[in-house]
Amino acid sequence: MDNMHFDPRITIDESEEPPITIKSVEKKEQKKREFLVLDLIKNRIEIFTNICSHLEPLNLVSLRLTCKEFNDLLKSPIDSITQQIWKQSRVTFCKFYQLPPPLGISEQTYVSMIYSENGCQVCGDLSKSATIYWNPLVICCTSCFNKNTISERTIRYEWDFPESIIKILIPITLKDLFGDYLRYYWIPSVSQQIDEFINLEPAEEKPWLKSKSIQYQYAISTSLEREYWERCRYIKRYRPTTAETKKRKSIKGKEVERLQPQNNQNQQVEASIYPTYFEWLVQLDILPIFENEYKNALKAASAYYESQTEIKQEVDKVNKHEELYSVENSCVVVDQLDDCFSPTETILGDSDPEDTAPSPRPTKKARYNPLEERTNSPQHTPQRIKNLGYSLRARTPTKSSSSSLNGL
Amino acid sequence: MATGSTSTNISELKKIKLTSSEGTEFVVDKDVGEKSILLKNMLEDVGENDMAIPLPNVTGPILTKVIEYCTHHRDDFFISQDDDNKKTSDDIDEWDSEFCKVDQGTLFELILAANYLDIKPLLDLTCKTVANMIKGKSPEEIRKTFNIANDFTPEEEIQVKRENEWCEER
Repeated sequence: MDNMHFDPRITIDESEEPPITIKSVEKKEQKKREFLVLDLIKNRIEIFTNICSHLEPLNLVSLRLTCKEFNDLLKSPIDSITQQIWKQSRVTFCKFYQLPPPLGISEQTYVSMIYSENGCQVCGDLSKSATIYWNPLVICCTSCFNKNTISERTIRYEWDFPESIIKILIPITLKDLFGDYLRYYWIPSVSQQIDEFINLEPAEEKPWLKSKSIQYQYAISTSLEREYWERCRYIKRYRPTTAETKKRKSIKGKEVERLQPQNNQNQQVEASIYPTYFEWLVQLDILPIFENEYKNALKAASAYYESQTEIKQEVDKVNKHEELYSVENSCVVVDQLDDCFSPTETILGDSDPEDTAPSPRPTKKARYNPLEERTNSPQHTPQRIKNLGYSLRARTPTKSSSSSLNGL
Repeated sequence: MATGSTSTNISELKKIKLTSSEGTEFVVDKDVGEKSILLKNMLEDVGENDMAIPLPNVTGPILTKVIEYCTHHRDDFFISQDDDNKKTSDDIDEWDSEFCKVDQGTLFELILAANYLDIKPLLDLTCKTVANMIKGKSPEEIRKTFNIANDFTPEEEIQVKRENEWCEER
């Protein structure tokens, strides 16, 4: 302790370097420090792991970008220690994502999807709000979802796919207003599966179907839970765009004022209906499928809540604990669904053309997309699959021989 | 924690002797020393003994700090190691954060000492402190803080940045 250049503020502000007078001493000191840092990392992986366990995924990325040493330690998608570090960080800081990553992607990719900005990765429009669908592994907006999916009904009854193939196609399961499960299939991945199947030798068919069915089982076993947490996060608006965050900070007060009920009768009617409607949706465990539907419900609900005095307190609360809502710390635990529907959140979020218009963000931008190959694979149109379906049925004569006659 | 060679240990508290890497002898109460799992296991193996325990990996100043920590926390009930469900880095108490306001060299040596002596709470505390130094900083700031040289080639740097583009502007 005696010979140290003691600076207690070093943990608070790194810019205040220890006061060093002689140059040579400075150099020596620096060398010593450097040695220590590198030593810590190279030889004591458990210490490095311990330090990382206190860091958010975003901090880990910053660390990765500092030097080769750290990059190597945090890069590998296979290495068990690396995966453990990322997992620990995700489990600690991303309360909505306690489930292991979907099959075939590394922790890093998983985290990058979780933190990806709220833009559609299919059409590339960053201004649109998008949802993560874990089963085909895409992040897309509602219109792209509609464009790129087909319903089970179409596949099964109109296109008449054989049952053995439907069994291994992994669906996106959504609940409709009446609590029924609706299955949708992501067209590119369906197309890909069928391509694979068609190119198989007859002898390879069985093992192929078997391996696919194992993947199917895994995906299905976690899919509902994933959707549930995804919805919680969606409601919490955990994935705001950068522009949104800035907006949130700057116009929080104004926004509340502007949204005060304008003594419009229509609105009052809505306000009285929608909160119940929304709560009902939540109770029924339903994700409003259409963006408009969801937004209307939220808007009306927030207007309703504003007329109550609670809103004022809620706003104060948010102002006080602003860090709770900032991007860095936004993985807040949702204890109850009631909690996660906080009316202030909804006011500050979205959907005002006035505010979204002047955003300087370019609508299209070449950015790294871990799922690029999937989303950019060659022309997957419904028509193509439909045609593939015909050849498929021609190939599997057992069940489909009769049905293919109907289809043709 | 008395430095020098106090020979008596008649008091009701049992004492143990430790020798730092420079050969300085430290006498500490047994319960304080047993915060270190390494020493605890050693004492169990050796039994009652007047011999000083040599700690060749720990220097005097660092050992002083470690003993200071252990003495302050002598009455704490250390939670078992596998109970790490609440690992937030904001819950450092005041004394602890004061304790960690040391220069980086000392901090890293403390980490190494805590690791060697197997004092889990101290290890966690010091690691948390380092983590807090990394938190919320850009790569450039981290380099500056820890005096790390940027050894990426320009191409590599572009590649890594590209891979991690998803978190830019955060």
